[in-house]
Formats: sequence, C-alpha cells, structure tokens
Amino acid sequence: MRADKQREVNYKRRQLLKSLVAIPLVSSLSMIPSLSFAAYAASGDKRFILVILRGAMDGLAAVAPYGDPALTGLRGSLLPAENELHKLDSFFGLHPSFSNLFNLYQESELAICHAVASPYRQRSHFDGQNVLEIGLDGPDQAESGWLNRCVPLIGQSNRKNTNASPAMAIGPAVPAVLLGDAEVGSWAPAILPVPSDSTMARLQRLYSEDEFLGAKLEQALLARDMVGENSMNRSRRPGQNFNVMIDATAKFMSQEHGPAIAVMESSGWDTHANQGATQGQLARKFTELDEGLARLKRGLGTSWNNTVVVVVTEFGRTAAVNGTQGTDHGTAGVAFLLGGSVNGGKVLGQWPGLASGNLFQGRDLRPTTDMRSLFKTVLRDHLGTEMNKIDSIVFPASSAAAYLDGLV
Amino acid sequence: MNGDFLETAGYVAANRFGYGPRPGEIDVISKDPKAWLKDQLETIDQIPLAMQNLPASQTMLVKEGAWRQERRAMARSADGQTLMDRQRNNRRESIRLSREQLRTRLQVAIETEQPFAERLLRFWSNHFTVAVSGGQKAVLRTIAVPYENEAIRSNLAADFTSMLMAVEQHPAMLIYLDNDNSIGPNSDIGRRRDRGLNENLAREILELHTLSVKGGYTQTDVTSLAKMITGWTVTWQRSNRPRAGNQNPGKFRFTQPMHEPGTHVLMGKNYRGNGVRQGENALKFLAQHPATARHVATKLVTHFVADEPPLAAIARIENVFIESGGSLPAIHEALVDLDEAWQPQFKKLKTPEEYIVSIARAMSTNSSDGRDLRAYNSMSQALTGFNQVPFTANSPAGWPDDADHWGSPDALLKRIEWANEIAEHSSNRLNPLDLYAAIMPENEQLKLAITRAESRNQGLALLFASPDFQWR
Repeated sequence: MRADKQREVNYKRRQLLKSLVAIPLVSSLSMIPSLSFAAYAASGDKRFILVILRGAMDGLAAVAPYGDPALTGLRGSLLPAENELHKLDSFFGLHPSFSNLFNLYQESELAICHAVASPYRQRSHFDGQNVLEIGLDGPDQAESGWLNRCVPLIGQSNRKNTNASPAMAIGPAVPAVLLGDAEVGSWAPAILPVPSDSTMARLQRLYSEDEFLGAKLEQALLARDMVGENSMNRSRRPGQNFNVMIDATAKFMSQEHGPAIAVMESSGWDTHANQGATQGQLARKFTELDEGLARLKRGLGTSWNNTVVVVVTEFGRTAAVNGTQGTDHGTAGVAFLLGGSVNGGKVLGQWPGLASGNLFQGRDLRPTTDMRSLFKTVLRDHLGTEMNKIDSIVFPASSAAAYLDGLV
Repeated sequence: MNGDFLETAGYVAANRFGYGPRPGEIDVISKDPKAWLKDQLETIDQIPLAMQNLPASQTMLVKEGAWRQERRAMARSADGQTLMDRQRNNRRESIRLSREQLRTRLQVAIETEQPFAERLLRFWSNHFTVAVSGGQKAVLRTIAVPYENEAIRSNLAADFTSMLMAVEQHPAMLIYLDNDNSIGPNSDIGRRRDRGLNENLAREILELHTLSVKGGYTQTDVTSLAKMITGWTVTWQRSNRPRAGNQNPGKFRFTQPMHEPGTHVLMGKNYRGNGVRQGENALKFLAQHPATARHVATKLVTHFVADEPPLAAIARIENVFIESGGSLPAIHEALVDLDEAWQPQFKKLKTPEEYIVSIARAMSTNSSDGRDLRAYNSMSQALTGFNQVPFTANSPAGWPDDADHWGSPDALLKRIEWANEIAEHSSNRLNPLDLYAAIMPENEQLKLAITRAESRNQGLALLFASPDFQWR
C-alpha cells in the first residue's frame, strides 16, 4: 500500500478506536426518524446529487429535437407524435413520459444540456463509464473518481462533529466516481436485524486490525447511525428499487449533518431492440426516472433549494433506428440539471444538427459541449470549490472544457 | 515440499482455489495441495449428479416455442383474461423452475469435493456472462443454468476455441445479446423487410469475450463481425415444410436467408462468404489472437490471485495459453503452478456467493439433512440481499471482481448481519473454537475473541463475521 495511503488509513484507525467511545453503537431499537427531519436542513449547506444512468440513455428520445428536419427520417417508428411531446420551445420537446420534469422546466428548476459528451469517442459502455467517472480524457488513466478527489476540498462548517464522509453512495456498491483515497460512505436498504451491541463491539475490535475493511465498517456504522433501522427501508429486492434509493438519498441529504454529495445509479438503459416510442421499454424507464426525481424533490423538502441534481449517462445512442427497432451505442446525448439552485427553463449547448453531414462518423449526434464543463461549473458555482483546485486536482488537463456562466 | 509450505498451503488451496474447507478437509488437502487441485481437473467436465435430472435448454426452448405459437392463436380467438391467466401461470412456473435450478447449483458448490472445478466453472461462466431479463427474453430464466452446463462445463477440459464456439452458438447467448434477430441488410429477408443488423453480440465478442478493448479492433470490425454472424439464430419450432432446415427445434440454426452475403473484412483479413463457416472462421481467428491470450490471462490471475494482478503471473499464463493453443487443462494447471498463488500476501475479497458457500461448507451443510434443505433456500435468498443472484449481472461484463466493489461499507455490514443471523440460528451443534481450529490458519487475536465470547452463538458469529473470513 502506498505510504500516504497507509498514513491516512492509520489515521482512520485511530479515529475508529476513538469513535468506539464517542459514538453510540447501533441499537436494534433505534427510533425511526420521521420525515420531519427535513425541517432541520435550513443550514444553507449546498448539496450535490449525481445520478448515473448506466447503459447509454437515448438523448434523442428523451429530448427530441422535433424542429430538426432530419429527425423523422432517422427515427421514424421510434418517434412520439409531435403533439405528444412536451414542447420546451419551437425546437425541442421532452418525451411524453417526462411530465414532472416538464413542470420543473416551466418553474425554471430544470436545465437541459443537449449534444453533451465526455471526451470519450469509442463506444464501450465500460470504458465510457470509466471516463465519465474518472474525469480524465481517456479510460483507465487514474485510480480515483473525480468526486472522490473533491472530498478533501469540500468545506463544510457544520461537519466538525462527525467522522462520516461528506460523500455517499446510495446503493450496494460504491461506483468508480467515488472510489479513491478519501473514504466515502455507502448505504442500501436493510433486510436483517443488526447484531447485538456486544457482538458489534467485539467485531469492531477485530476489524480495527484490517486496514481495508476497518475503514469500510466505520463508514457503514456512521451511515446507519444517521438513519437508524427503518422499516420503510426494508426491501425484498434491495438495489432494484429506484424509489427506495431516492427516498434514502432524500433522507440523507435533508439532514443537518448529512453528506454534501450523494451518488445514485440506475441501469437498464441499453435499448438495442424494441425500444418503443410513446410507449414501450424506454418510455417506462423515462417514467420511472421522472417520478423518481419528483419524489426526490418532495423528499428533500426545503433542502431542495440548496440542491443541484445532475443526471448523466456515459454516451448517447445512434441517430438512426437499427435493424431491431432499437438504437446502438452512439456519442453525444443529454444531461439534466435540476434543483432549487439551478437557473433552469433553458436548453444549453449548441445544436449540431442531424443532417448526415453533421453527424459524428456519419452515425451519431455530434458533441458540442464537454460533460466536464457541467461538473466543473457546479463545483465552482454551487459547491464553492476553488477554480485552480478544480483544474489541477479534480479535472486536470480539462482546459478544453470551459466553465459555463449562469448555470446555477 | 517443505513443512512450512504445507503449513499454510492447505488453507491456500482450499480458499484461493476452492470455496473454503469443510471441517476435516485441510488434513487431507495438506498432504499434497497441488495434487489435490490438479486431480480435480480430471473430472472437471462431468455434470454433477444433483444436476443430471434438470431439463436441457432445448427442452425449455421447445416449450417456449410451443407457447408462443399457442399465444398467437389465443390472441386471435380467446379472451384477454384467459390469455393473461395463462401468461401468469407460465411465469410462475418458470420462476419456480429457475429457483430449483439455482438451489441445486448452490447445493453443488456447497457439497462438492471438487470445489476447484466449480470455481473454474464460475469464472468462465462469468467471462461469458448471460443474464436474465424479462419480456421477450424471459425464457433465459430457465435456460441460463442449462447453458452453463452445456456450453461452459462440458468444455472445461477442452480448449478456448471450442468453448468460445459453443458459447456463441448457444441459444442463450444468441437471445441474450440480440443476435437471434440480427438480419443482414442485403440478405433475402433483409431486403424484403424493414429489419436489420444488430451489433450487440459482435461488439461483446470482441470487447469482452476475446480481444478486449485494447485488442486493436475498430467500429468497422464490429460491424463486419456482426454481418458475419447474421443468420446465427435459434429455431423455435419444427417446420411443417419437409425441406426446411429447422427440423431440430430448440437449438442453434444457421439461417441463410438472414445472412449478409459477400466477403467481410475483420482486422485486415478477408473472410469469404461461406455460410456458417464464415463466422466460425472469424471466431477461430479471434480465439487464437495474442490479445485474447493476454485478456484471458489477466482475468484469470485477477480472479484467483489479486485485484492488482502480478504482471509476471499474467505473462506466464499468457505464454501457456499461446503455446498450448488455448488448452484449458494446460491453463488451469498453470494457475495451480503459479508461485504467486501460494503466497498469502496476495488475497482477494470473497464475493457474496463465495462467502455464503464458505460458511455453509464450514458448517457441513448437507442436503440429506431436512433442516439443511431449508437452509439452502435461505442461502439462495441471501444472494438476493447481497445483490449477486446468479445470472442477473447488470451487463455482459458479468460480476465485478474486486474488493472495491464487493467491499462497500454497506455490503460489509450486511455480511456481518447475515453471518450473525446464521450463527444465532445454528450454533447449538457447533463449538466455535473447534470449528476455528478446523478451518482457519493460526490467528491469535481471533482465537482469543472467540474464547472470550459470551456464548457459542456469539463465538460463531465472530468467526464468520471476522475480517479474516472475508478474504480468500
């Protein structure tokens, strides 16, 4: 293990031992915190939620450029009728499933960025997600995710009393964007009772000797302590239920000592066959996302005013329908930015056009905005991270990705 | 072999290459750990007794074909309610069968005396992942386990090319990655209908099954390979027309009218139109490509040795792959002979399945004991809680293989909770100190913790939930 990582782990170990005294152990009879906890979150601390859609969400279906004359020729059977779209302006329309997002747009709490992509130009899901999450311009160029690199840079005035990491993964595993030297928390619904205090105390002593696992256990107990055991969180299929994750994210983020950063994931976006148009496979996923985000806003309560949610995917899909009524891996796609702190009600980015001469490699939407611009802007203007730190630590070598003004 | 080596080698063999020891096994293994492992390779392709009565994939596919035909007829004549009832019953039955298959599969891992064989099966099955989804692909639910036995297990003693061919021509893979509906745009059918090429399987063959992203192929190669395997599809029903090719339903069938005609170029080589052989020749080329050897070697060493695989070990396996022409017995033996494999500083975090099975083996769980049959059910369900229900990986890349993924704070806490539950319910039979001595290498701190436990229950919980038990 690298020496600096060893030092950090040793620090964590001392913290863990101290915390055995300071922090009450989890009890199986913890009070169920009610949603009135949301009232505490008037702290003014900024929150950032990243939602990663895995599988390459079809941006042209999500936000259809109905004003582009080439669209019908390319998408024919996969297009909803123009009068079914939620028209944002004379050019773009949201897919019919996105009724809640349409309301947010009209209330200026949703901004859309079209024709956006990371620097990655191949079409492998795994490499594409890697580039999205590592934050450099090619795959496998670093061991840490860009959000993990942010963790030491987040200044939180109300966090002095807790060891809990300011960043959390909601779900059973920590995604690459949060992996790295900084410890992060993770949480997923519970289905089993917790061991007795006596057993946990003994286990914590054993775990203090395991560098890797000891730090993980500490984060888990701190997160568990924050929400307690809660029958609302019980799920027969943890990790499968998007709404359970949404509710948990809302609960964590609306607490005064809660994390500043949370990451959620959703998969099932890889619509190679029978994608559907107004109805169908993809429409159902859109509805799940739409209702989930609305639920997130409700759950956050007043914290919504200090929150930015960014919804991204690793790349878009082909401009044309493929041979099985679906679409294949593409390049540019769509990103959503929503929250009380967002200057919404607009579609950002330069539209490259769908005429065949304007398509990337003759098949995909051409990217005109770098995904990192969105992330960098949110970090600078919402979370207050210093620009030079963003450009040197979080997104090094990203001068091609300019900051955007007036986003939040 | 010297005494020091044997001291820990037995544990290494049982844990790194197996699913952890059943009590008493270490003594047997320690006599000659490498031989214990290599002997298991002799019978590696035999279907275990417990699985021999499970229906073959062909049976399930023929059933599905008959049902689809019936459903079309019913849609025209019967009322919607009857149709919905039948659909619901079918779905229930298919879920019941798949649960039985998965339980049996878990039982085999728990009771086997050839755990190395089961581990290798899991490795290759994960490399050639098939995952269940709903809708038109719901039939995958009951053909995933048969696929694993038919395409993977039965080729474990053959060579990589044979396994690759069996996998890419198995209905499960063709359905999973949409190749059964992929039609060459210039084929007979392609020119008549508005359906065409699907690149999904071709891409994953190049990216995941053979060369890997670093293998030097381009988008054009993906499209080319996709064209070469058009017509690689599944027959659902026996045709009424006597001259038609689909006389063997429920199996792979090459359908010329779907196949994209002409010569296609893959990585600079021409492949002449030659029916099914065109795609087969392309696969043979890919199987023997050095990038494939490198890719497979890296995955094998990562899986068995360490998340950050030692480069020398990868190089050794890669060489064996190339020199033996992809002989799986040679490759598997070479794994056992890796020096790094016997060094305890290289370790891996157990996946949830490995963890659950290692606990069940430690407790000598046994299908002839009625109590234990219920235990198998709860263990199968536990995999749901741990997000590792077999054949439900989120993507064709299969389950991840690293501690960062399986060792998230929440996942770790869940293991501890589960181990505690198991210990609470079953420790009357077991003395945790005896069990510790039988399955763990010397560990003073753990031994002390168990000795000082408040109860046998707690002692057992400490053993199974201990950090040392999480690693293999």
